Amino acid sequence: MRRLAMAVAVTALSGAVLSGQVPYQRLVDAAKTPGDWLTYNGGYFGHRHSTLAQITTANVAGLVPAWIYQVAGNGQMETSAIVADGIMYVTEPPTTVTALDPKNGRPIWSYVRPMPSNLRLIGFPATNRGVAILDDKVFVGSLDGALIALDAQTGAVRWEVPVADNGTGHSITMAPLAVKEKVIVGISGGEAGIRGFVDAYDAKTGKLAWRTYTVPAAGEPGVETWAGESWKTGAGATWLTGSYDPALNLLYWGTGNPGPDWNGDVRKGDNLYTSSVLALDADTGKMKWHFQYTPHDVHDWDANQIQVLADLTIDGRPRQTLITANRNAFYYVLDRVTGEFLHAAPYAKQTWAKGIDPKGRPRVIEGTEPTPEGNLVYPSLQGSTNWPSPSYSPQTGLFYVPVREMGSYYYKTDVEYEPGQPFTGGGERRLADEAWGAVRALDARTGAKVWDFLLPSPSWSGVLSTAGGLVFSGSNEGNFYALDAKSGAPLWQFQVGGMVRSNPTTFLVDGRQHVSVAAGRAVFMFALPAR
Amino acid sequence: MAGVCTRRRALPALTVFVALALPGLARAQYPAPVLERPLSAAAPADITEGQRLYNAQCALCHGIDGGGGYGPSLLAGTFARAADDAGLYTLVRVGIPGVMPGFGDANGPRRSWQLAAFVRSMTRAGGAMPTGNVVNGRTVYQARGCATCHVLDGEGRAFGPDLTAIGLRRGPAYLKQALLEPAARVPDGHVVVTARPKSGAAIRGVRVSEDAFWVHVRDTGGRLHTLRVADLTELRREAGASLMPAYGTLPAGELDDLVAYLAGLRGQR
Repeated sequence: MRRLAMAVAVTALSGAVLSGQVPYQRLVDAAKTPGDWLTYNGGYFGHRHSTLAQITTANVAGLVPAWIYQVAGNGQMETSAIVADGIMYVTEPPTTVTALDPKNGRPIWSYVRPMPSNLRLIGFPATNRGVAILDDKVFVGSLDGALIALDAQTGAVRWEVPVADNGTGHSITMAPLAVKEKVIVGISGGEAGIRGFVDAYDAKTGKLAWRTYTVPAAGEPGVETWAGESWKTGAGATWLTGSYDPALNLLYWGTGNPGPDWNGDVRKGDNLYTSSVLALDADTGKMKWHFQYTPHDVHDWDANQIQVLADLTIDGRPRQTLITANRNAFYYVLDRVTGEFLHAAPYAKQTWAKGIDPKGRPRVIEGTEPTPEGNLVYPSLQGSTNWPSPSYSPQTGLFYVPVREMGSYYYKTDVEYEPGQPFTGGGERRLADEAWGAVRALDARTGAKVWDFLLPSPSWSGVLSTAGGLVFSGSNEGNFYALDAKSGAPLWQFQVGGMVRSNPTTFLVDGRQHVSVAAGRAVFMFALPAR
Repeated sequence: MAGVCTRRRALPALTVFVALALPGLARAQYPAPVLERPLSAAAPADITEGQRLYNAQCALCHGIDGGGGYGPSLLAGTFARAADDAGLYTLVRVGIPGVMPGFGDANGPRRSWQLAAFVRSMTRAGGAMPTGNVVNGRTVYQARGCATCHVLDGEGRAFGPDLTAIGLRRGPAYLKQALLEPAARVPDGHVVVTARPKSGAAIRGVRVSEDAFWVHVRDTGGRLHTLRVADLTELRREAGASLMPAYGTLPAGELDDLVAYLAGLRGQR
């Protein structure tokens, strides 16, 4: 009763702001309510496209900063904002959640999680990519391996569960995904020899509903794709937010590299289900189908990219597809109902495969694996693209992908598993001097390049497209900019003074369209001047 | 004398204060690392073991060659978080909270020292000690006009890298190669570009900065050009090019003397 009284008081204090009730149906309909930004990519289909059209090709040149919110801590800002009912939720390194007033950038509450002194971050920076929202709670994964539910209005901790042990290299950097009454979360640790999994927790209580491992255990189908007992340290991390089709009730989750990364001798075989996409029943976690982009990956080409769901006409036939630009330099079109491979094409420079065969398996060029002396292969270890979100615009039919054009010498070294230590078996020497980047527009049906907007270095910024005919993205050198979605012509830019290594979002604030991005150690908000 | 006494008395109090203020430190599993031998005392076997550890623990973020990746390059020779050998030894053991893992637990003191020694050797590795005459080398430096493009102890024109402490960053083999084939390994921040404006002559020089919309080029005359990318018909990065002349024509003795002189430069501090 007392808690209820407090909740009523808080609601009363918050004045015009409605209590943060974001039921599941609002998440399903997110793309139809562009005034909010309710999931990591703005909707379950992962389009990162908004139907807002107040900011257009004609007026975007007048875009100005509305406010800047600066964070205190060290680490890398990679947050993607969630905006619901007049509150904006961002995350800060190491695992801090802050609720901001999107009108003025003032903080309403912060949840700060102290990190243990022996925190293990093996293969990634101290970062967090954002929260999920469902009903009256927001959910965040922590670097020390926990999942925490916070009161959306006050930041009070409602529950907290350990997902996995950080002492063995497990960690969470991704934004969770809320589906029905569950919170779905993946795990980092692909460079520490973990055994990857996707978890679902009851959103009300934090109780584990199901866990699906990405690497089969002894006796399970698929374990024959691992030599000996190598499956035990097989990795297949699930460190980026998946997509969801409510009608099919299927989650689509990318999996990471097999472990160890660059020495495949100790894990001969295809290494299922690493560097793959898994279609999982959202109620049970049961795998309906899988598709492996890079069998027996030896270059660290995780499939932890956004698995975009789009309804396209392929070869004259309407198809429910899954489209993705993979780290391995190929663009894929799959049937998301059955997992059937439909099409693939290279979208960036690559020297490792002659192409993709009719079943979707790469025709690997011999002699492209890492060696003790170093072996030059394109793309580099970080791939032709990485976790930053692409955007699919149903309006233009284009798939906008942040591209990294870079090659690396890949090295193989001896490797031995030690719990909580790097388990990689090699490394790279990057050809950084000749590397470059782009926002690349692809025909979503074929992956054919339509235009490039060139960047001086390989991109780490996500892409947002809008019905105003615009594409927003950033650069490592601090440019945040808007391009013409049809031609790629630059129409506006603002130098934010720090690396843009996050995903832009857009929504309404008091009925006016705003665009936000995190960069350097700050969150930036832009809008057209108020009349 | 009084000052010394005061300081001695103050020490225990200071220790208590630190322990109270930083409980994390007081119960840290790492004793204060003491560097008992300089990293330069590492034998080839130490460096080999250090490299094995580096490949397993560090290459993931810093690149197999130390050229950087998720983590910064280790080839600059100076480390933002470790001013000296003791600092480097501490860093590889303790790490940077929330940023870089420490490997002291896994490695223990001896292997940590070998790892630090290998990291230190990455920039200075390669080849025998210089055989040239340092005093003659200084004369060669002055006579051959190096100061036309390099600053040393505050003197000279700043176009190429500052050489005041080059011996801390580069070993004799690297320096010799840099003199014979300057383009073999262009130092960070000295990429050569040619920018072709829609009107006017092309500008060739060192890229001072570049973003998606602007590029700054310093030409060989030292003039800084601020160019809008949209106003260029071409912006060409010349991979593997250097604006430094090659010095293969120097008499062999002069070359060795110059290398010896440069390798010995340790800065003014």
